[in-house]
Amino acid sequence: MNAPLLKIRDATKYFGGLCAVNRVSFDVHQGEIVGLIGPNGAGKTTLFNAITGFYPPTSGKVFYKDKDVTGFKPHQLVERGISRSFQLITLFSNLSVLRNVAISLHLQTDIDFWGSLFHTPSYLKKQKVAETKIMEILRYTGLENFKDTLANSLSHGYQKTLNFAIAIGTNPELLMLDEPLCALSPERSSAIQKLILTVRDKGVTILLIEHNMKALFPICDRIVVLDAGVKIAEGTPKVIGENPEVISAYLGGAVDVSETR
Amino acid sequence: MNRNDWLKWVSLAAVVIALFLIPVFIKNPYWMLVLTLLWNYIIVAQGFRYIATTGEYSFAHVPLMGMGGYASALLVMKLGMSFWLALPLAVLVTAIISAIIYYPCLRTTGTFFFFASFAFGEVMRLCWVRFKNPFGGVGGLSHIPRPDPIHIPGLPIVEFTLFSHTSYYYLILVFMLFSVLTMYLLENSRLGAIAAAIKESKILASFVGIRVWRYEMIIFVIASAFAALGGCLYAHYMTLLVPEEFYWGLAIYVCIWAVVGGMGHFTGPIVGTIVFGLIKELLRPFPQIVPLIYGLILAATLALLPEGLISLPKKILLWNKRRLSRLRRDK
Repeated sequence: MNAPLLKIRDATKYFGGLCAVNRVSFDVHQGEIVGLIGPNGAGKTTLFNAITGFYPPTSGKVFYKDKDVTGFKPHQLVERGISRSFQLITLFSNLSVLRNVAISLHLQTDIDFWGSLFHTPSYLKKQKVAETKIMEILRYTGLENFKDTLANSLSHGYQKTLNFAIAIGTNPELLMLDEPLCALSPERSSAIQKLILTVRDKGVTILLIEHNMKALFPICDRIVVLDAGVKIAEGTPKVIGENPEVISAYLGGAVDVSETR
Repeated sequence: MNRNDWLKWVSLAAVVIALFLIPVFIKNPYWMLVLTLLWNYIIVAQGFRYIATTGEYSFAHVPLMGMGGYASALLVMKLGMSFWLALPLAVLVTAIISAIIYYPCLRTTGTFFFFASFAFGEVMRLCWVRFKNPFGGVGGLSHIPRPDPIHIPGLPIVEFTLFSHTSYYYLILVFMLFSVLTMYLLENSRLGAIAAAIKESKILASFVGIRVWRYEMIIFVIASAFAALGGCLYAHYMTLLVPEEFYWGLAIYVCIWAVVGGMGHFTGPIVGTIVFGLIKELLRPFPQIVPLIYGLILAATLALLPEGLISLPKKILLWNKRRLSRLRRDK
């Protein structure tokens, strides 16, 4: 197997005396969908924040494509191809859906400042290219009909989708999604599930936090379980569903994996 | 180009031509002074709004305007520089000073940014009061020379003496149009989109790859350069600079002009500055009630037209549409 895309080694995060994440290590390989689960307060989002430069980990290392990216700023990570979405919906609320996605393409369009200032022909040409990219993203995320709607007047489900679309807009190789499926109607949830699979088929590796087990188990290749800041299990959904430690810590009873498959 | 675009360009050209023709019709030096200062404040208010496009309200903006004035006045008076050289130099110096004071301020946002920038602005003002040499202390600087005459061979000499109101009017008008054009271009450039993103969410902006801190700095420095430009023109026009002029009250006035005019569009500060300038002139016999009227207008605008006076035509159309639909329903 190739070297992993993302390597997390002994990631630890203290808030004062509280250990939120304690020596967590795991790998994410190219083309995988990896789920990160655990009860509330297990440190999933803290781990995400520590990886994505929201705050640096207290100790431990994060490697991306074998390069140390520990403590990098968000924009540096985005430049290297790591993108994330947030648990709480974070959008450019007072801008249209189109502009939201357009801004997310910030790094893709190599528009020079002076060209954009005077709207030179080369700038307009690049703008055309960017527009087709934006429309493509809107089309396959199903936001096409809402492109002129303000982001904050979308319904919750579509805001979640837009959140996802913004993360895709940065053209990531590794997409980190924080609860993309939480609090969604079954049909929106399955639409986003499909979207995650579509994005994976385009060659994007995905690491996601999720509480919705029914939605998570069928799409994941591997699952990592955290409890109280410690990694307690790692494996395929089938293995995890049968792991007694996981069941007692989190699932509260056996999950019939064959049914969800 | 469709019909609407044509209409826009023609009306824009008409306004610009009208602005250039004003001195032909208004001979009263007092009104020339009022209009010249008004155009000058538009430059400053534009800069203030430009900072606010990132969501921050800077109260160091007006002291930076004063800084520009002091810088150019000192360059001319102490070093004997020509005004035309001192102007760009003073703008540059003020831009550098603004970068230094915004450097720590940028660690804060919102209310904290407001207070931090306010504190730095007051520090600047107190420096002018405290250091008699070179700033002249409480009395400030007087006898600031007017700009040197422009002498282009083949054309009549343009002088800027105390009595040449028209030439100074044109000087400031040209700079005002330049600043408006720049703001228009910036608004529609990549920087405008980035500012909008930063205003909406700094966190998300950084997670789509925008270097928030760097772009904020660029925007603040550009805005401060315009404040400095306004300050230079003001200093050499009034030939007098007093620290008291750039106290926090003026900063609040500039803020009110921009907010009442409308922060959402670059034309907002223009409308706001003109409206308030005219109100102030109409109320000249009763200067003590000016702040009261300002406050009332501010409160009314915030309550009825939160997007500022520039949204008035849109609002009227909306009200009319509602009225018509109500009439139809009642039938």
